[in-house]
Amino acid sequence: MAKDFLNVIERALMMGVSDKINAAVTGDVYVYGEFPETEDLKFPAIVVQQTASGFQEQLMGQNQTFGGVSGTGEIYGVAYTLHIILERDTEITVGSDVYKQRRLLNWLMLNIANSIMDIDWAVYQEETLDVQERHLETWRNIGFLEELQWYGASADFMLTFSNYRT
Amino acid sequence: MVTTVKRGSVNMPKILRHLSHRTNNVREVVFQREAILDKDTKTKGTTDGTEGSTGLGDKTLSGPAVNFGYEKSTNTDLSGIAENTVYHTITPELTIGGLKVLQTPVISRAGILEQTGARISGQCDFFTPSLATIKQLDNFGETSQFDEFEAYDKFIDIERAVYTPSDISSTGNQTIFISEGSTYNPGYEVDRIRFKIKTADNLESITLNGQEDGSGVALRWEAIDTCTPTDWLLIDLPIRDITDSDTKEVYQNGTGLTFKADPVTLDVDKLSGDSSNYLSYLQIATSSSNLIELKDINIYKSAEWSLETIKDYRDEYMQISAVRVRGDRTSRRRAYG
Repeated sequence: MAKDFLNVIERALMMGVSDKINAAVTGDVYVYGEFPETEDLKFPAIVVQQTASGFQEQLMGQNQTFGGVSGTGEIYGVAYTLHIILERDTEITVGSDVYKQRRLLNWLMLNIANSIMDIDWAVYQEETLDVQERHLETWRNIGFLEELQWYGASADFMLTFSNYRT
Repeated sequence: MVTTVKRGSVNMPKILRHLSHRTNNVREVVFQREAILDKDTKTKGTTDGTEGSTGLGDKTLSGPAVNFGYEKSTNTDLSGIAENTVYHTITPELTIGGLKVLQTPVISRAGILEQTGARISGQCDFFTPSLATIKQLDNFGETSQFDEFEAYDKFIDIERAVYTPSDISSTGNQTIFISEGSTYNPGYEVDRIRFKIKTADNLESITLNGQEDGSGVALRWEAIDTCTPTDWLLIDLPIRDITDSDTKEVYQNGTGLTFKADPVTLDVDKLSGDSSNYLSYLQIATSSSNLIELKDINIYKSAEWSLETIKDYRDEYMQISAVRVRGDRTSRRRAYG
């Protein structure tokens, strides 16, 4: 049967990050799967942008066992760029403190990284996944966009999973 | 409260009226905005390990609903209370005709050869009456869905009138011949059909018939909603690249009436214009045999313009720059069907 791992992972990743981050704050943090239409955009925004995907590693004889069932498959990789965007007046309450601007950006960078590493895929997956590795690279382009009055940062993230088919 | 529309110092409607007697650059276009569908959203996870869970079996995600950004195929009213939904109000396609504009140039066609093949594009400017004036027009002011022009809205223009049968004032169902005797008119040139209709009966269907390889083929647009055009009603429907059960809206007094394509055996591109492959006739069926009036019947090649830049000079006029995003070479349509 044709598998839908790329969509399942993207959806689980968005749900996982949103669920973890929002549980830690008072106020809403919004996660988007693409650059949102302007009328959808709310802050703070986390954009999960898929940038690449493809075969990472082939297996001997293409054999793979998944959930006790043998089939063919490979290790497949998918890369994302995560963006954090917040306006100058965006505020979120963490504990009893109100976080804004660079303080909020710093908090989000670390806690998004933590959320990604802690995601339990089984809680969010809509089809059984076997995610093997996840790597979040450094946050970069950290700064303030003067024209838009936005704070932001971006980081590349990649994961590998068993691409399995019968 | 009495509201009046300021004419502005330019009085664009009057200018358009005067210009239309002198130039065909004054066009009557169809305004089109695609349907806005429900978006795919999740408020619950798969198991009860989610952070927003309050008890066993609860899978609620903490925070706002996760909006994946892509549309589903449904167009429904949603309050956002139900699981995995967010607020949405039914937003069908808008197709409103009768908008008079000045277009320069009318035809802009540039062939661009790309890796994926040849693409035909073009650009033009539309000069329209002020928004306040447009909102006084039939349907524009009557539907709550239209408030202003937006980027990516479309204007559909008659690029070339291919078949223009005479006006009709008769009773009952009407059959309008496109090919008669030993005339075999091709279908590959045409994209849409437009006409104005007035009758006390219900308009039931519009059927375009043809012959393909000597066999009868047809595209029938069936009125799903009751359509009683007691006053002149503009019908403008596509006839090319239609699949069975496609639906389109015809607006009457600000309300969208759904027409459904059923059956669809006619592929206009395959009607190359010989004795076995041609467009034969158009049938307009009504519910009874009262007087039916048809005018401005036009089976035409359309140009679809996507609005790009909108400059609104308030009470004066609007200048809208548009690009032609789709277009093809009719010679290829004929050759490849």
